Amino acid sequence: MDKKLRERLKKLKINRAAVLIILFAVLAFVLLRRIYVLQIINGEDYRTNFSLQTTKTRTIASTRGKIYDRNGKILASNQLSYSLTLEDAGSYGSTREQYLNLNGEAYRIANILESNGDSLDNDFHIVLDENGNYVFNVSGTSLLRFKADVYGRALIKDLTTQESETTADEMMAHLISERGYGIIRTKNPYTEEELASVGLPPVETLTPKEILDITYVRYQLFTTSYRKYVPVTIATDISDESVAELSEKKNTLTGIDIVEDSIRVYDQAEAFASLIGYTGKISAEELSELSEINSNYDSTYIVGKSGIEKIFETTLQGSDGQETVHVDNFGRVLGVDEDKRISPSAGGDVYLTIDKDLQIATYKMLEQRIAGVLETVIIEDEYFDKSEVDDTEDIRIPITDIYIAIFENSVLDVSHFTEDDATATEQALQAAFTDKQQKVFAAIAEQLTGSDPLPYKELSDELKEYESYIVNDLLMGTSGILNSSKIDKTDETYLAWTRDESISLQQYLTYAASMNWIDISAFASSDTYLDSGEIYAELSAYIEDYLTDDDVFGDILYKYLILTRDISGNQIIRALYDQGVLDKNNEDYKKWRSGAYTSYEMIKRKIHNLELTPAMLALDPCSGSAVVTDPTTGEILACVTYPGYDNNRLANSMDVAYYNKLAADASRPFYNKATQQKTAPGSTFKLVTTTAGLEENTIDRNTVFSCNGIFDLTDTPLNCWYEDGHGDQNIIGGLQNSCNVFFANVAYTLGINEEGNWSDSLSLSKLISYAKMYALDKNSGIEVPEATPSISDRYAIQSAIGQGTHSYTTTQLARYVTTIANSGTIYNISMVDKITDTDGNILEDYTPEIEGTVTISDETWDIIHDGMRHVVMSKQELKDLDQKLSSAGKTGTAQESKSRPSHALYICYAPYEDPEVAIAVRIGNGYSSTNAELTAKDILQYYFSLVDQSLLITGKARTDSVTQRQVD
Amino acid sequence: MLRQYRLRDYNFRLVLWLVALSSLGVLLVGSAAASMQTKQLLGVIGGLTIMVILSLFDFSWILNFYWLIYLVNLALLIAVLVAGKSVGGATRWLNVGFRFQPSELCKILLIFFFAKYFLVHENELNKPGVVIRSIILLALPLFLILSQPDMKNTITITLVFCMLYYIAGLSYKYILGVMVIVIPLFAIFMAIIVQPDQRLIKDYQRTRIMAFLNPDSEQYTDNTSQQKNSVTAIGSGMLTGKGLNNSDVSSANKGNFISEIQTDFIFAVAGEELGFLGSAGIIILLFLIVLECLLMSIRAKDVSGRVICGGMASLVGFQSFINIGVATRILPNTGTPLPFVSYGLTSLISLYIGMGLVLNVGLQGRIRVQAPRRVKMHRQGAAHY
Repeated sequence: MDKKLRERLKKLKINRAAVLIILFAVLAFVLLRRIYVLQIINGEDYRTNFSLQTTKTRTIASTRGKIYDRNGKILASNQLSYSLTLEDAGSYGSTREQYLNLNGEAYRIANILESNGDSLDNDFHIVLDENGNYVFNVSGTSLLRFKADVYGRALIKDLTTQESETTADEMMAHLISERGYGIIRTKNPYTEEELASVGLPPVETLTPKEILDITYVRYQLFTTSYRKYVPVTIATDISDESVAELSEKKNTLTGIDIVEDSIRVYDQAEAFASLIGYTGKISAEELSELSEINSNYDSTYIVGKSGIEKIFETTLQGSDGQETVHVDNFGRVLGVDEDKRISPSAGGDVYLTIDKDLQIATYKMLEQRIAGVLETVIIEDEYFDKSEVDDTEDIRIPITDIYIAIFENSVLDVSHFTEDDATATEQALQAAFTDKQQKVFAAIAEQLTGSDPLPYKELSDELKEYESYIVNDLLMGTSGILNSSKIDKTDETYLAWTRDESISLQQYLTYAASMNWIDISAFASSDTYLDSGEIYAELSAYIEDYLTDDDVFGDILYKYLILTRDISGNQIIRALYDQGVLDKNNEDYKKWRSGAYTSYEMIKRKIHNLELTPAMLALDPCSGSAVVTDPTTGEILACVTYPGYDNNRLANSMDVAYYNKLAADASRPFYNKATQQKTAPGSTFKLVTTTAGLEENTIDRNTVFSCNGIFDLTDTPLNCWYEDGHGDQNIIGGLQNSCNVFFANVAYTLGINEEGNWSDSLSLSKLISYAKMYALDKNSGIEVPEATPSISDRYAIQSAIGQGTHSYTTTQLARYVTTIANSGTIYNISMVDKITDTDGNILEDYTPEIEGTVTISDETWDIIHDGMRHVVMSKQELKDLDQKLSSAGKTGTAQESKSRPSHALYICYAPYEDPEVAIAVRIGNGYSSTNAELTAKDILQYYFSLVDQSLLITGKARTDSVTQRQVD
Repeated sequence: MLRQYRLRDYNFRLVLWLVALSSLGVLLVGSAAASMQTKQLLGVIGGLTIMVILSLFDFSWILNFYWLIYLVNLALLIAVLVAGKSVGGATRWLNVGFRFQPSELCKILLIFFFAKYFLVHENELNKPGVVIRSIILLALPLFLILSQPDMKNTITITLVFCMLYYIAGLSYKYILGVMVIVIPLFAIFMAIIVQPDQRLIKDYQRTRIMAFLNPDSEQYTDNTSQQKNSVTAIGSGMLTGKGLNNSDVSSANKGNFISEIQTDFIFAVAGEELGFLGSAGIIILLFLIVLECLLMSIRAKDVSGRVICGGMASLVGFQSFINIGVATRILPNTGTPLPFVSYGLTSLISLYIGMGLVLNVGLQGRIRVQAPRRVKMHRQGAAHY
């Protein structure tokens, strides 16, 4: 290359960089001109019309499918409601500022809700007890899960020992401090100006409730802290007033939003709660289970917790939609992006085979009959000794037991006695209680620490009860202080206490302390060494401390106050009026005030008017069940358990206080008496014995056995319920009279082996095989959980009359009578009819499956039906029914305890010629099977519209034809 | 490897502009995302230190390892594809104790590599063989970046590569030829991607372009609202701005109305809080940096020096233009950091590494060429007297 060319090239290279300089100068100029236009020329415009926008994704909740009865009447539906959500959308210079603002906002929100009668949701598991202390309202694994959530641990096992052992007070102290949510700062506290700027009062004036509210809101925000901009729901189903006020203040309450929501509403809740169940926020276990079926489930879902709601969860649950909205810098929605909207799809509807009206009527009529029995067994005497009666049908309820029950089953809210607005009567009751408490504590202290304690057997009954409670319930039960696994059960002193009752409690406990049977960590600080004397002193102090706050012990004190007449019936009735349990707006109140009724009469009137229901008192009887089926299809028309409960208060945001009350209620509303409670079938089983005898040809229609009141061919003689004896009878007469001796003879003939000798096991095996033929060893088929039946496997003679170890639910007896009514088809009885989509198109149609058939001769069926028909025809109380509707039935009495009334059972079907319904009724501890029979009569009269409804559903206890007398 | 330099050859002006711009960056990042300020400050200090150290190494000696540089680059990019962290659908990060983004470093390493490559082939630059080989050498890392996917760095690197070749001395004939091909191709490309069912680019990339082309269409508001908010924020800054770290509720920055504000939209913070004066200052500082680099390119001792300086100038220049262009909405939305200002340690350190070499190029000047000239001038002067 020559020199010139190289020179030119070099020049060109220099030019190249220069070209770039020019290029970038132009680009810089373009940018400068652009910002000049934006900031200088149009800047004023941008500043004054400052409006920014951003997009947010909102979830559109799907609607849960509805639940209908067989006629399309609504049972469970959704009601539009408003929920308040909050997101941490503010921006702050420091954590301190952030916490101050959030706490202030939480406080203001809680106040607004409170002033409009609403409240924050209560899925926080720290609550205030009646004394204003923080306590956990869950225990066990749920409590540990809650602690893990609060301390931000993914798994329970990640909790430190200190965290897992923290008390509610310690947890709150942590959360309140700067290490938690900085509600009250000890170092560098908020100034009054700072607090006032966010609407907070001086921190020392915050009430525990207000602190709890703020903590709850902060905790909710904390639970989603890993997903910013995700709003959390802090209050559901808020009133229109709250909606208006919150919307108005949206500009000052950063990050709040009112969203449309729906709450689950159950119609006629009490009668249906046991079948339908309820919904609630998904738990961790449910989430892991359900997300395996459908990955859409997340921790915000509301799912079915029990009953049909749970069983058909995936059917009822729709899938959520989504929409994108544009919002400005104040959070106002500018528009919805229609293109990106994913519509939610509603869940499927479930139709039950239940007849809504029949179910409700059955529930009410059952309650009326149970109340009728209860009313008639109450006596004016103050004391009744059950151990004195020979026969359980003679058991009566003294009026004082009613008063005691009013306290024991929390009909009266004793915590209100100490409130500021307690009435004079309530205060008087409280004063009597406090006085009693002091006396009793003094007496107990005398026994525990006094110099001259009495041996147990020398104590008064009252003190015995207290000491038993202290040892059995307090020390060995709830607190676990007296460790029963450490106790040497053959120890002399132990036996002296338990068996001989010859030593005092003081002696026993001192000895227990010296033997290391006592876990001292529960009541004494573990770091100091105590000798057994000191341990004993600490324990005594602990016992008194514990008993002061113990409700159950309180109920025992009230019991003795009532027994010693320190509290009168009149005082209790007045307190019931004061607390609104009884309604003052009726004639009774005035008459009672004027002295026209004694307190005994008044209580009976209130029970008669169902103002005090059997469920409230939880005495015998207080429960019952009835199942109605269509024997031609196996469909369940009604399945009632009494008492029911209001599942509306458990669904949506659960009313924890209500739940706890139900769980502790002695009438056990959560225990389904139709599907869970098992009792012996009593004489209703005699139809199986009949089948066995006829099919095995050990008897025929004309076989006659004579009853003289006792069957004594085997080692264990059996009495007939009719002591005088029924005389000669054939099978029809045996069924009609429900003669025990007749069926004992049938069982006896079944047990005669080839050598002609009696064999209990042979008889039993035949009975078992016929019971199995009726599928009594299998669950009935009903969709809700049902207890497993058991056929008696001992004592052939007793088993033949439905005693022995037989044990069935009402639903299983309902399936049994269904099979009898249709002469042999064993359905898996079912309460689900069909599933449709929202437009009513059938997605799935259910018909009860056939489990099998009872293949026996027509002659046998004729005899069974004829016998049951004779049962009905022989009953005086069924005469009026029988004139209009021919039915067939069988009574049954099941005795379980010598100190409690027998269970009353009745199975029937009608019309006799061509059965349309089959019914099984059971009243637990209902004395006589007649009482169950009367309930079935009510159901038949209702179902076939034989009597005007107003005569059937009276809202009063039905005492007509009620009896305590055993008839089978 | 280390040489004797003259202090007066050290380009303190460039260092001053860099320190000034980086400081502004630290302040802005602090205002946008307080928690990241310290990290950014440490990044700047670390970057400056690395720059000063590197500026003392003879860049020609460093460039001897150009094949090693190339291979390390490829290895890093492959590592991303194999073991990278996926963020928002794209895999661009390597987790090595901190989040390391190899494509940012790649830009610098490619400049180094081609600086030497063009020096080696100085006399054959316009031979088709070299052109094709160069393009293949570029295509390898480019393909890896594109498959992350990272469209914006692909574009930036392509642009910078063109500049490198141009500075190295690509014949204008080629440039003309390429333009004849590229411009119609670009037209066709655009014509294709406006079709909804196109397969050339990913949907989100198309959406951004479509959003830019149809700013008022509801369909693309998601993508334009970020830019609209940025423009509103910048405009509302007016002459002097709302002040750094202000507590104005109605602030795009404070109200969290622009996502990634500390990186891709840091200029919106500058515009809103520092006003026209501050944002114009940033543009001018960036231009001064570009200018210094280009001036040093002119004085560089050889092709490799020229390419390093010109390359860094182009990189800073284009990236700045794209970033500010997006923030002020004269370009479609792509997420490119603003050099020396945006939060992002990989980008910051990489740029300082580049600047270190640029400074060394300056130190080595065209001593052998300039010295005789001065002598000559002296002689002329002497003659004058």
